[in-house]
Amino acid sequence: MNEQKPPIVIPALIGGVFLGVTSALPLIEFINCACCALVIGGGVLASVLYLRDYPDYLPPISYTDAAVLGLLTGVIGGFIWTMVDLPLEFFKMQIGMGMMDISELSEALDDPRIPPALQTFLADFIAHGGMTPGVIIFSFIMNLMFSVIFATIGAIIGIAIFQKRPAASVPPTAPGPQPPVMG
Amino acid sequence: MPSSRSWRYWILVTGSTLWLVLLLAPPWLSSRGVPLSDFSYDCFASLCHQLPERSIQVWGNPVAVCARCSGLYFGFLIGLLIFPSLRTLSRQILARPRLLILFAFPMALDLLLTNSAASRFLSGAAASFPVALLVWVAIEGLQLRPLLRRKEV
Repeated sequence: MNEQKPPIVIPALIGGVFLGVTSALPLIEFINCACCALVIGGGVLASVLYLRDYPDYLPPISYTDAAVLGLLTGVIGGFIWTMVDLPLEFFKMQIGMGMMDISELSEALDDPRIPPALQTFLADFIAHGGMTPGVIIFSFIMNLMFSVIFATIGAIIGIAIFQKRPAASVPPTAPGPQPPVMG
Repeated sequence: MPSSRSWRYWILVTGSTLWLVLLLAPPWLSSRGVPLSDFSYDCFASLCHQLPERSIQVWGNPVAVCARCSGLYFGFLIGLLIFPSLRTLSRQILARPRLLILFAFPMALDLLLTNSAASRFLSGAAASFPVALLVWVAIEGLQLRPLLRRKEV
């Protein structure tokens, strides 16, 4: 009997693409305003897809396995979110619909309370239409942090709700040589 | 049941507490008149609608996320702190994890009925409370040693 667990990469990839693309798309992104629903949904989707391929004869999926699945989903989702979001955000800022208002930032340039280093950064930010390396890295870190946290929670919730058997509290370990762990 | 004294547990508690502190940073910065304090709100804009009328006011300014989201994060931390003492409930939730739906029911009801800041906060807290147990159990199961050993080879 093949006791190898199904790979987590495919469900994580599908969940990650789902959360990354939907979280970046205009209008649809606002669903995240409901407690990060799209990101949690990406984690749940990954767990449901993983459960679909998970054979019944294996021990139930543990919450730790679910967390690893959600973590991978979040990492993939964070990358995709940033890749899709940056060009869209650049375009939205050009037409004055971005999250940060360029005119507000321009006013901040004249504020004497802002340190010169920050003023230089802001001037660079405005000159490049919001696409400086610093902003790209910052956006990526924020997206990655949010998607990793919430996709992990989503995958754990998905396993808790959709797995028919109660999840094992710790990952099951079989005696003898271990098959490669997931993916 | 995992041990509440493990370092993983305390990392989770510290992380959740820091998250709550971060949510309080934007209103605090605004109340101090720090330039570009709006930017600190923008950092959480992708997580929540941040409508001031639906948010808890602290230092005369809204918290970075709405009352329901604040409740969710607060409930998670409370869950982490008190589940080590609630052994029977912990066992019941681990045996029947679909009880999560029951805990989320007040939040679903609150969405449909006329609600207040308090009801949004409390129903959010109730929904995330049992999730803390599952996340704790998940984190406790992480085996770091095999990963480290593999690196050494």
